[in-house]
Amino acid sequence: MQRVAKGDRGAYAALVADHLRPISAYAQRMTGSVANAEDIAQEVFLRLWLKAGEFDATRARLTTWLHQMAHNLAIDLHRKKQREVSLEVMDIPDAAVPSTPEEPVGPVAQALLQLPERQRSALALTYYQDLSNREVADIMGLSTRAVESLLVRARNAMKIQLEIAQ
Amino acid sequence: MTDELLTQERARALIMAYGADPDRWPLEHREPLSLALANDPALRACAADESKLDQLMTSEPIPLPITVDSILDFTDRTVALTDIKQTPLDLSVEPSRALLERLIDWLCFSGAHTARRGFAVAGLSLAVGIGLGLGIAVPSEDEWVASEQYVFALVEEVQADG
Repeated sequence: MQRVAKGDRGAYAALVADHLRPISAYAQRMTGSVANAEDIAQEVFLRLWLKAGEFDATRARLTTWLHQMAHNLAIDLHRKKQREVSLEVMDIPDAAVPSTPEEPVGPVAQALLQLPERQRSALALTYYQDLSNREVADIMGLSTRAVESLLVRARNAMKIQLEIAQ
Repeated sequence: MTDELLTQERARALIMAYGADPDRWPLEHREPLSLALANDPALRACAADESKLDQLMTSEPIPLPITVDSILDFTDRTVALTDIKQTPLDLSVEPSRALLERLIDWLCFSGAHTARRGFAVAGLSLAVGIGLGLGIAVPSEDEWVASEQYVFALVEEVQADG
């Protein structure tokens, strides 16, 4: 990271190669869109290039820092979509605004996209991104117990969506 | 931290949160949870139920159409277009002022002298005023929202880092 902060493009390319897959996969699971995932990944790695000097390895792993940025961008995008839905839907407290995938996806990805934003984040970060429960809690700004509660609700909703007998 | 006094209720909640695969359990819970699972048929039934979802969730790999080169190209193009410097933010300067300074630097082709910067500021103010007044070149609502989100995200990050 110090080399990246000093403008070493080769070091930057190596970090992009190491982290592109998990970051873009997370963005894709959150948005259901390859195009949106690409936008998010581009923005995350642009910020990595510009702000490498601000990264503090004593506070977080690099992957956690990058996931934090991807998470914030995905949430911003989700909230932009929320503003576009009718007032009727927005009046429901804590309403889940189901995302519609822009490309054909399998039943699991489809079920994931039907989850409310925070449940989707908790499940995607915990299950697919190889992050610890504390790292997920840090990224989401929640306690680990709150993340666990989201995970239980998310998994139950997934079982219903996927018609797994409970 | 170990969770020696893991109740059945807590063990069940952990399995329902993290699934049935011990590799996915938080490190601090692995040992007591494995022990509880070995001694409790009801927990094993719960784990068997959760393992069905675990298997399904790993059945759909995500394709990766985005290439490293496309990311590098985007970074190069954006940096070249905006001339944003790869330096840590100076937190002694207000973020909004730092952004304005960068915009003025960019308009002055970087590194211009004070007099030219003065003209740039005046020219920028005049252009914004005329643009807003005549209603020309006003971005669409979507563009405004996108740029607002970008600026808010940058400001939030700066505040969070501060």
